[in-house]
Amino acid sequence: MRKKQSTATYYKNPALQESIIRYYKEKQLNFVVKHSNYNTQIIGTESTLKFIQTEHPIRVFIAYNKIVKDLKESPKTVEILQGEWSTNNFDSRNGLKPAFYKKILNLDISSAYPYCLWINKLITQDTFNYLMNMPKTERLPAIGMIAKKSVWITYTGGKAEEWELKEGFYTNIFFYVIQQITDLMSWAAEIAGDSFLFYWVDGIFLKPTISKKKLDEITGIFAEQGYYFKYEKVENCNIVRDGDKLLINMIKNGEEKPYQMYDRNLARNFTKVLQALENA
Amino acid sequence: MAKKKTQQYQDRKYNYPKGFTKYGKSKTGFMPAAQGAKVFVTNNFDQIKKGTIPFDSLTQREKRVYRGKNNPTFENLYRYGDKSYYDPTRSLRKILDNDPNLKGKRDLTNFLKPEDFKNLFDQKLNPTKYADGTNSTLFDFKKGDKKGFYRDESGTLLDIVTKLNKIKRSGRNIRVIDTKGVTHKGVKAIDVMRKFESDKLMEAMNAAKEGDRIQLQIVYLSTDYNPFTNTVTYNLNNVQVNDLNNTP
Repeated sequence: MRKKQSTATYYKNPALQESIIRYYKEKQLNFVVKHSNYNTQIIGTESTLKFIQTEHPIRVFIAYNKIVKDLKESPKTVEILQGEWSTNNFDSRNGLKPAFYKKILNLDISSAYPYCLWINKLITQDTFNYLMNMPKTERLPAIGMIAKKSVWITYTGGKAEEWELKEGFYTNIFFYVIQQITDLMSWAAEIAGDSFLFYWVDGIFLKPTISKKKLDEITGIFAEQGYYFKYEKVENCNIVRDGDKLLINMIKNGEEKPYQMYDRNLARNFTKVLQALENA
Repeated sequence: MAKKKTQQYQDRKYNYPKGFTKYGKSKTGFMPAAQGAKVFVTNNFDQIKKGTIPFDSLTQREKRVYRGKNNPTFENLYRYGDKSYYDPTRSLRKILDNDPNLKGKRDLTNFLKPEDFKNLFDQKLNPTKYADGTNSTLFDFKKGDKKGFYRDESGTLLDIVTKLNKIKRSGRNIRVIDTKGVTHKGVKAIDVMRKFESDKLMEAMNAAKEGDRIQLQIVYLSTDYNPFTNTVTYNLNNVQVNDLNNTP
């Protein structure tokens, strides 16, 4: 009969983790280190030490299991799993200049990921309702767990002998959701034209001078696609450029929010010019 | 007899474009004429070019702005940071104008990475950027015709041997390091330089057909002046030879 291992749980502490691994290595033990976004586990023959970053309540795992159950039954899952989806979920206006805006307009899609799963018939109404009754801080990890990824390093006699990357079976579904929202944002950006500043995940930031007609068109598309949206109050938006990096600071709903992103347009412009020169 | 009155020049009155704000306040009244003419010509540049807005209907100030914007030097002059760059191939303008987001853009500071921009200009568009009358020769003639040199926009003859003779006459010492690393001085140095150039030119002429245009540029990348010894040094081991007919 397999001996039951004892498990001890601690909050993430890289220094402690490192010293334990070093100790196991010196003692030439057999053990496995598992790293993931949420925790690091040192699995020995006698015991398992778990270092967690955040402790999630049980309902987060229940929600995740409900999503997985629905994905197994959804007729669209197989098709989406076979596709290739981009995970780039931010972009800025081509040629965005460093500037300071006293006020800017922010349109945020409400609960973008649960809605996207539901609109695309990947989860049932029951799971959707369950997700929507959870606070945002729990809803995001529950959905994010679809894309769980972990690295397993196996130590034999204190030496790292092999490693393996394990990905969740439904990771591609999460990437699909990201791309759906990004496509919606880039569609809105195209309509906004010169009034577009940047978008980040499910929120688009626009100049306050945007015409009402364009704004109506954007909100019309959000509504037509089945999403709800809200206007957020954004003040003192400062955009600074450092080469191909954009550093953006703002006060959103009274809280300071920093953003840092690569300006992907720079590489795109350069490639375009080079290609045109080669074809000339 | 009454003195003939000269006709007073009149500017148009320019309203601020809709949504034009400065320091967070909406502008009222009219724009200053100089700013208005620039905005008017910029916004209607394509229509003026096509003739939809007749050139004759423009005010003198607008005509002046339009001429400036419509001349090739202006069109092909780009800014990056606080520096200006000229694209002699004029190809970048066509490429940028094909993209609606980049159409008419001349300040590329926020459109390309600094290193990409440098690479683009120095390697692809203007490899001869550093060439001038003090460090380069540019042969420009048709095979079969008498050998000729190019004069740049300022009228400077791009012929380094002539330039070296002038430099020598002005009292400076000349030093040329040849391809074997041997240093030559004075008249001998100029002879070595002439021989080097005529060899390069011969190669280009042999490769060309009768009647072909030969545009051969030789840029001496390593040139140096030592004010203490009043000596100018050219190194024939660090030379860029450009066949401008084949430069993009």
